Amino acid sequence: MWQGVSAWYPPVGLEVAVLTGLGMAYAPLMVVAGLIASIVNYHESPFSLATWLMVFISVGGYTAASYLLRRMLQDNAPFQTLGDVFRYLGAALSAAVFVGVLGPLALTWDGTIPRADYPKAAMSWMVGDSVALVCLAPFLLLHVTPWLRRRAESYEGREQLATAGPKRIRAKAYGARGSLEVMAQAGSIVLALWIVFGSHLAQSFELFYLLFLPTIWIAVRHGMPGATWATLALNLGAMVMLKIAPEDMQRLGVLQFLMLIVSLTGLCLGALITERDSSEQGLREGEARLQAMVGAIDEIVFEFDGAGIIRNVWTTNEAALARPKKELMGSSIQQVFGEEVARPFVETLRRVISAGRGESIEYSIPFGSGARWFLGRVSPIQSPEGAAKTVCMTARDITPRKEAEDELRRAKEAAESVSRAKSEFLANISHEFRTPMNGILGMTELILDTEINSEQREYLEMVKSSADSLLCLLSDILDFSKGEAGKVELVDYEFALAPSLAETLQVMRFRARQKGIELRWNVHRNVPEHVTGDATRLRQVRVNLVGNAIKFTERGEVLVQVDAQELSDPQVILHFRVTDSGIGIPKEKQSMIFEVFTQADSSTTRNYGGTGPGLAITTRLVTLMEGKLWVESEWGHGSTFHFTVTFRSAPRGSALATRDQHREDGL
Amino acid sequence: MEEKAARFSRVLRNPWRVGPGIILVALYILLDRMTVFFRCGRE
Repeated sequence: MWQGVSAWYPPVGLEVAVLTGLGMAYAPLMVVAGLIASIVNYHESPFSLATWLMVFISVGGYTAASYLLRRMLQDNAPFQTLGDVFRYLGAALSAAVFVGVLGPLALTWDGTIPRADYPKAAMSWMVGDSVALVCLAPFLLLHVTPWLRRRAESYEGREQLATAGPKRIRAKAYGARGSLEVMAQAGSIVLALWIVFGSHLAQSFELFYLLFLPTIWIAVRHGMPGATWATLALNLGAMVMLKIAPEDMQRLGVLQFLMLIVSLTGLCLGALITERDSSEQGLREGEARLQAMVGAIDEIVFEFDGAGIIRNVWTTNEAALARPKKELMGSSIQQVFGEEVARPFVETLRRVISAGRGESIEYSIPFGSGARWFLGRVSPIQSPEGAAKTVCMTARDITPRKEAEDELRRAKEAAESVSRAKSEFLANISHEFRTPMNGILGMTELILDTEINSEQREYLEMVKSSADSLLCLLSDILDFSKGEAGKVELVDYEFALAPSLAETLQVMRFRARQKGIELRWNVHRNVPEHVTGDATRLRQVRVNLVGNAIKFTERGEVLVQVDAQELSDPQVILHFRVTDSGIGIPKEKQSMIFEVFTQADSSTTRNYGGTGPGLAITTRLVTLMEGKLWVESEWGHGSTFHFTVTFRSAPRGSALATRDQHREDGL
Repeated sequence: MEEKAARFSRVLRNPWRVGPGIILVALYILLDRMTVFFRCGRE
């Protein structure tokens, strides 16, 4: 028999909490519980189809809702955000409508509820279930089922899985004041319930809105955990108060709605506060992380706006700041450091904000009695709207590095100055050496032309040979020093290339033949007869390279080849190759030989004579003639020295007109 | 399959799953009884 209504129906809240919080495996248990409750509490027949229908409709509807909720909510923290609450309400209240429509229909069909009472019964069922779903189920899901699941999973050895995931919503720990406040809040619930239901001040729930006050107070102060406690307490209290002071049946429907609205308000407000608290906690953690980072990187971090106003300063060492932090905050760079320092700074800040790309800036600021240098790395801070309005700058003190750089530069300048002075000295003094050396050579040759005995001749020839070597070395030193001092100048004039080459090599062929080596040369037909350039410096290069080739070759031949690599009026690039069948140069030593006084192997000095500045001078001369010098060689298989020079082709020059005996010899 | 059976058996022997199950059934019936007790309304 239909015997009035209940303000709300708590078993439904328990059912959804168990199925959502502990698992769908509890669904059969809920069917059993529903059947026993129907038989024991409502004296329904266990063989009645309506009883089974009602139980299956209820358990089926809420099991489906729980199935969805298990996918939508986090296990450990089901109500993290307002979105979570809305998702929960959507699924749970839809199930309440489904059960509220079909459940009473089964009882109406059975005759337990008169057909005329169906709409009222359906509405009461729906709203009663909804109140339970809004107050009891969230309370259990937040405070009870996570604890039970953790214990169960811990027993099964799955504790790690249970504790992983998002942070659980926990009630705060209270001090003495907090405890007093909690007691006052509990008192306010009791007082509000008494005023609304028990006192003679109100009639027909006219003061029901008073129940909002403790709900809002508790939700705002304690977030979701407090809100669930408050709504549960209010709804249980209302149930008890209605037993103590019964109301008209007609007004109970209104009361159910009011209870649902209070519960919804508490739940949504609690979720909102919890979400805000969580965001604030995230911000605080972010700030703490930033502080830790600033401490770890030992740099000062600033936040500027586009006008150069300092919005924030983070540092663990305030002594590193040019002004106290309080003074800097809110001040502009112009105010703090003056216009001169500020101008490039503000330009950089504006550029970074408009381009949205980071930049670096080195700046110096007055600091105490001196100045300090800083390296600033500026990055835009993206605003929520997208475009950057402020920038973040990390500043590192680079004063020691700058001082070291200055010192290094001064030392380099001093060293260069000394080197120039040395070269100038050598260039000047070499002239002074040459005159007496020429005197020694001349006089030695004159004596050699006279009648002297063989022993004297031998000694004098040794004197002449030594003087020749010394004069050659002095010439090299003079040339090198001139190069170092930047005093080498090219003197361009027109000359016939092939005869000039032949003339030089004819002289050297004599020396080569003395060693049993063949010296040959070949000028390609594409080389112009006459060119304009510094023939003297070109001869010096040739003599050096061919001289080295003869020097480091024991047997075989030395071959000199010339061809025009590029021939465009009026420019001609000549490519010279000096190939020998000598000792060769190991690959790893090939770059060394172009340095002054360096040979590939120290043993070669012993075997082939001393080192000199020859290749270094040659490289310098080739570079002056807009060419380059390189070597191809293999240890034990000879070497080929290449060099190019850029000359101008003379107007009357023609390769075809050149006499062949100058163009090649021995080929 | 064997693994599933073993897990199911482990769950059935878990007092933290069986105990709350029995308590929850009792609580459900008790809450329902409470609802009947507190059923209200003056005709």
